[in-house]
Amino acid sequence: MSRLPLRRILSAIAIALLPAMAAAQDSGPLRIEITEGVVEPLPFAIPTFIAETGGAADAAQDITRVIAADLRGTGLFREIPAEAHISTVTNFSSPVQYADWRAINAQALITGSVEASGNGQIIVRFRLFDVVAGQPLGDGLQFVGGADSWRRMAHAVADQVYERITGESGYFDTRVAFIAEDGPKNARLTRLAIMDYDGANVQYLSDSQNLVLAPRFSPDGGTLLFTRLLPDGTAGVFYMDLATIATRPLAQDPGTSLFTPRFSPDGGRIAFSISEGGNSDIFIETLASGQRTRLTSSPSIEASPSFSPDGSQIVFESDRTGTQQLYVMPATGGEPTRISRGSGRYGTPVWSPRGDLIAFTYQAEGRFHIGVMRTDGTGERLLTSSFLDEGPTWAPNGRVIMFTRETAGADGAPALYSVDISGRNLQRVAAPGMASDPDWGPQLSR
Amino acid sequence: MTMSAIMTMSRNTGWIAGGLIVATVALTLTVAAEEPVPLSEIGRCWNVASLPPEARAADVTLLVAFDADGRPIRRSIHSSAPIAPEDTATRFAFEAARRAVVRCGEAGYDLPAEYVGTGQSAEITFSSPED
Repeated sequence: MSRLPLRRILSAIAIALLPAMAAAQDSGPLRIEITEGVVEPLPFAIPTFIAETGGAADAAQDITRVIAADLRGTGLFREIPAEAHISTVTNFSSPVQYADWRAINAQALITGSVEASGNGQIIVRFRLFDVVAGQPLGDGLQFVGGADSWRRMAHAVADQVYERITGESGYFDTRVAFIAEDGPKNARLTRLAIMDYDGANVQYLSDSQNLVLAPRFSPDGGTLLFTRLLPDGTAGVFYMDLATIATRPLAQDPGTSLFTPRFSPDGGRIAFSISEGGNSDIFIETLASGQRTRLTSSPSIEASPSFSPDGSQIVFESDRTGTQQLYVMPATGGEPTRISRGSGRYGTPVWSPRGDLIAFTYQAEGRFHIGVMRTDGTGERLLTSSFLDEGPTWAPNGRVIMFTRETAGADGAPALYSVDISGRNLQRVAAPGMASDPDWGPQLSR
Repeated sequence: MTMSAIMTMSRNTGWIAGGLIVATVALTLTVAAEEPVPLSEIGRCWNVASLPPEARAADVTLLVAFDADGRPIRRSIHSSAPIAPEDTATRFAFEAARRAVVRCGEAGYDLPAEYVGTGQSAEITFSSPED
């Protein structure tokens, strides 16, 4: 688990005292400007949750560890190990001994309990405390679910803690669809797969008979779109109902290939590319009516459309000017506007759930990068750099990006990584084996 | 799996079984300060780790009054300019700044006398830190 440095002072504290304090004595207001802050993980303590019933001890231990791992994994929190704890929490309702937690420099304290109800359900309760202020940070909360849902309940607790401290939504109770890969690099077998965001609960959704690519969640998380290589050498787009694993194809004409599909934010439309005779263009299909609308008609390759959160615009990649660049256009059609300006190649754009940024893959001088830019192309920042980084996908809160990183050489293998949009906290995602092409699904407990 | 139903219920009603209530707003987390510090040292409590880049780039000015021990009066802390509900970057920036003021002021600030327990506000501007 990667962590930020314990205390990273951005630079020497530099304060501009506008009028000096003495000047305030002249009845003018005391004005101070602060120009430097700190970036440091917040220390928290989470004693193992109390098992309220005999059969809940293992679940209490496991739930506690998942919550702690979620918080540590953000890079924003640092866990104080149990060995350092002075106080022992033996009852969920007992008063908190704040002085004991202050003594070990804990700033946040999470306590909880787990109760097995006897009908196959468990009840998870938690409270969050501001140790220094000596008071609860919000009210307690409980979750009830099947015993097999304990991981989701742990993620839901972590989401609440994250939200209360940072003011942003958490992203722990989420799933990721991806391509599981196997075999040598020149004969790779692929399967559709899905897992919790942290790599747990992996499910394989297809066999490896056909090459599959680019799984994409519907906004409600119940359906996947994906691309499959067909026996005649073309590619088709398919829906998969995640409850039944049943698939059905999107209609296509013979000799054409359909690829890079993505749902609209309301789930009522999909955007995708159709390739025919070496040319590919962007289309949108309204699911209720089946009406298909061509959005581009350029003699070039247009692909990877992604909707803005309000569904009114799409961003896509195109080589219409000779190099692959990013363009934005109305989702109803119209003139595209080029937003990328660099000298390399830009691809796989994805609009942030917040609507403010577009993530993309950038290739230049033999290196690949994951980057972000504002939706008008300004403010471009490259977050990563490696032999091959590609295919960004956003966490539902728009704070973290997951992508594929492949190592070089004949034995090179793909794996999933995540990075904060600040460029910090780069870490490998615990997906099993070789994995690529992730798509981060919606928050499940919203 | 009934957790989603529970979450929905709690979000819709603000109440769930057992008398436990969901908090839906970000709250302040404070850190200890053992002795009064100069107001100019608030930067050491200004943790920008959780701020998205847009919020880091947003400048905010807080007006703060202090009690007789030089501690910031929490209810006195407000932005010098209204923050539009849709301006999330400034809102996050304000929350981080407010946390900093509270965190560093746990033991009070070392202030000119006319600001101690008089209700007179200081004006503290937090400006775009650079990495």
